[in-house]
Amino acid sequence: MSENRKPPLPAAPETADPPPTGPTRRALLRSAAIAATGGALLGATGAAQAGEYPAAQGSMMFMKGHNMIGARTNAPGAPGDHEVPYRSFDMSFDIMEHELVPGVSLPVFAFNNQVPGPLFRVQENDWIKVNVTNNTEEMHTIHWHGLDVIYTMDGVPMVTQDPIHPGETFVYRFQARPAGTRFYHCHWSTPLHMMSALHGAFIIDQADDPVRKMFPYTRDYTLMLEAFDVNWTRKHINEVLGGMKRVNKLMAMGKLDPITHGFFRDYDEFKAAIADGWTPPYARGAAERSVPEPEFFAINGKCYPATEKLLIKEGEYIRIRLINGGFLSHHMHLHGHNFWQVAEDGNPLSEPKRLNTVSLFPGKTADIIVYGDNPGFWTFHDHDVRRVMNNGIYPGGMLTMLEYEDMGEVPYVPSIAINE
Amino acid sequence: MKKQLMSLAAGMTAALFAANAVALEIDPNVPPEISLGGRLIVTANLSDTERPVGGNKSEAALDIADSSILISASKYMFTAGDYGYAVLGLILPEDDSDLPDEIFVHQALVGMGSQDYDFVLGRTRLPNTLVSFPTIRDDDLLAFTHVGNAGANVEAEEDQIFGGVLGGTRYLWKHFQARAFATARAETDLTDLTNSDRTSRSNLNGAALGFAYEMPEAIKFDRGLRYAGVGLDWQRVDELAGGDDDDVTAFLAGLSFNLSDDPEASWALDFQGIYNFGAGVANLNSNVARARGEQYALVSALRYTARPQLQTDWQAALTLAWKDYADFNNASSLAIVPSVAWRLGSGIEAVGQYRFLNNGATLGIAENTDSSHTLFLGLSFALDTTFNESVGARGSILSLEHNMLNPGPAGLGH
Repeated sequence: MSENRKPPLPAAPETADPPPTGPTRRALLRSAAIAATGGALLGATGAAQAGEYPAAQGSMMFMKGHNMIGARTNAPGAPGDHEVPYRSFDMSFDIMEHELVPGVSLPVFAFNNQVPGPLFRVQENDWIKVNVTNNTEEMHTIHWHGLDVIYTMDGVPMVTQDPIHPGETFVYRFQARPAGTRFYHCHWSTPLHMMSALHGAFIIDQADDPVRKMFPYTRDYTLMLEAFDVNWTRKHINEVLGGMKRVNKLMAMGKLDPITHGFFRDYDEFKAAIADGWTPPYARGAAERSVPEPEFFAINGKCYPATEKLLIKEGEYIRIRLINGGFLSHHMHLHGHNFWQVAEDGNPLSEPKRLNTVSLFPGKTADIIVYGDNPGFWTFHDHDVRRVMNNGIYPGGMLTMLEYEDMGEVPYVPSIAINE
Repeated sequence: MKKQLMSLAAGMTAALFAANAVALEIDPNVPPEISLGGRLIVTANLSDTERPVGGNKSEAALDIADSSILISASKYMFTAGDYGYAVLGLILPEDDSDLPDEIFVHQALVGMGSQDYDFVLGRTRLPNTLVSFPTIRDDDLLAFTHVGNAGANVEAEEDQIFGGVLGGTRYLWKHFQARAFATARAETDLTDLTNSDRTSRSNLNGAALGFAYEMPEAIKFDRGLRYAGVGLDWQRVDELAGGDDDDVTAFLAGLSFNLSDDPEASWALDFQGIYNFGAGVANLNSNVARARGEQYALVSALRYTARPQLQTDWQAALTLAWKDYADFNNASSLAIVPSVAWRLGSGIEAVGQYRFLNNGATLGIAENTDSSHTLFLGLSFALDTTFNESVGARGSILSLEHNMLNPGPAGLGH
């Protein structure tokens, strides 16, 4: 049985796309001549010697007059729709206002208008096709964190793909492997986009789950651990949208210069631009002194007391999948129980570790098993207590509760404190 | 609760040491957003003036006027979405100003607002102009761009541009606003025009109304209308020779267009017209008489801004201004002002401007200037930085386009 705030992302109706490696996969080019050139460029993979590739091969961003607004892009490298049985999912990049806790909301970029993004629940080795449409004026990608995808599906802008433009639909195709607790996040302007709030869980089940064999768990929780800087997010989304209005206009006019984005074909071109008088944005006199300093900490998009409780029964094993979706470290401590850590980074440990506090550094996941042998109400929280605050007020933030069901009459019933 | 009690104790302690500045209660642990803004502009001015009396006069001067600094604080209030703010600003008057001090407090105000309104009381810019023109200083075409102060015979630009205001702006729709203010302009004794001592800067002696459509430049950068506004400025002033009060009423209208779709090479065209009914004057020989004469003023500017790779590099502008006093012959004035600014760094600019001014004979005698040529060359250093950024911006894209209303003060000297 799976317990989550929202049901897993449902599969979309199957739609067949043209072969993903064909010369016409970028739909919107300014002229047929440019389109033909682009196809030739994009199709010319594998011809060079190892380590010797034409600079920026495959990228549309260096093509004069390129325009990817509203395109449908099938990235190369994956089997075609008729070659393997894809499970298809529809996603979107949206902009929305999200409430962290009553009284505090912030603007965010979000997958499918929800924070965190929708939960993927698939079987190992399923072929996955994700049609993601950008409904914002900003650019995005999706990085599949911890999945062994082919590199053109890895979602790193200007390294494995061009950023997904406003109005563009990008098709990711990959095989879901290896099994375990994985996640996904936007990799464009990652500090802002991953934090606020383009991240979500990607759970790959396997038929012969070694964890379930060892611990016959009946409920399965996924907790995305998050940190938000409300003011920094608001300021930067405003700035990004203001800048992108102009970028998108230039693109529509066929005048967008890659240097406007800070894109260069290679290091030599980058150095030449600086020698030519271009000022990099990190240089003295140009760099903004602005670093996010989160003041709200959340589990699945909510700060205590808005967090959702974890339920357990006496004699029951539950699995909790912890995913660090931010850039801070969190040290989750469960009161009254010593649990087993059974997986790290989604991969089963050879020997479960008995812990009561599990640390998650940025980018990490940890799966733990809790056995219901101590009925009561038990706090589960980041033991870096600076993250158990809402805007500096304790308690709040990354705090929830493990609650035993069917305890009958209890000697003390928890209430809510929000300012100790 | 413990923290609140400690804050109360700390606030009371602070009050003991600042007995003349006691708020009902200040929690020192709730810091405001602080904005620090300002501009130091220094130009070398070379001028040649043709005068009806005294012959031609050439001057060279180092001009630091209009340099200013502003500090503001803002906070959200206890009711969701409402904010309060305060601004204090100092400005350097011109070298030959008739102000008694070398520093003038041009901003001292407290305000509050919400999604629907912004209310302010204190000293700030008077609502006697609608459009900001691309001259290098605010007052380079003051006689054309602002409704003059009809209650004080003063030269100081500060008493033409700044004054007391009490009123606010009602945001009717996202891009439409209506405003109404009572105003307090500086006054002098008009029975003695040789005496420029201010008798008051606090008397509420006027009012202003306005209605405007406005799109922030952050959103509206492509071709089309960016601003359209109308205004009414009314002053209740003493008669020049004593006696009953006079009314001086002026209508203002302004338009700003973007002419280009290209965000890397933007063209903008600004217009403003002022019709001042005046109060009937016998001559134009004093500042206050010229502020009270029936007059028409038209100003237009064409502005080009080069922003290669979306980084502002330089700007060139041509501003034309014309004015005429209806009750006098040969009392028109014409100004032509080309100006340029090169962006050397963030907020650091080299500026240049030439101003040609030509007066009709009557006005020439009144101002003792038939024509003048002035060249300005200099540097400007501007700053605009915010600490503890925590209050939203009213004109933001998130607010205007995505309904994420985080209103904050519209100005604060940014």
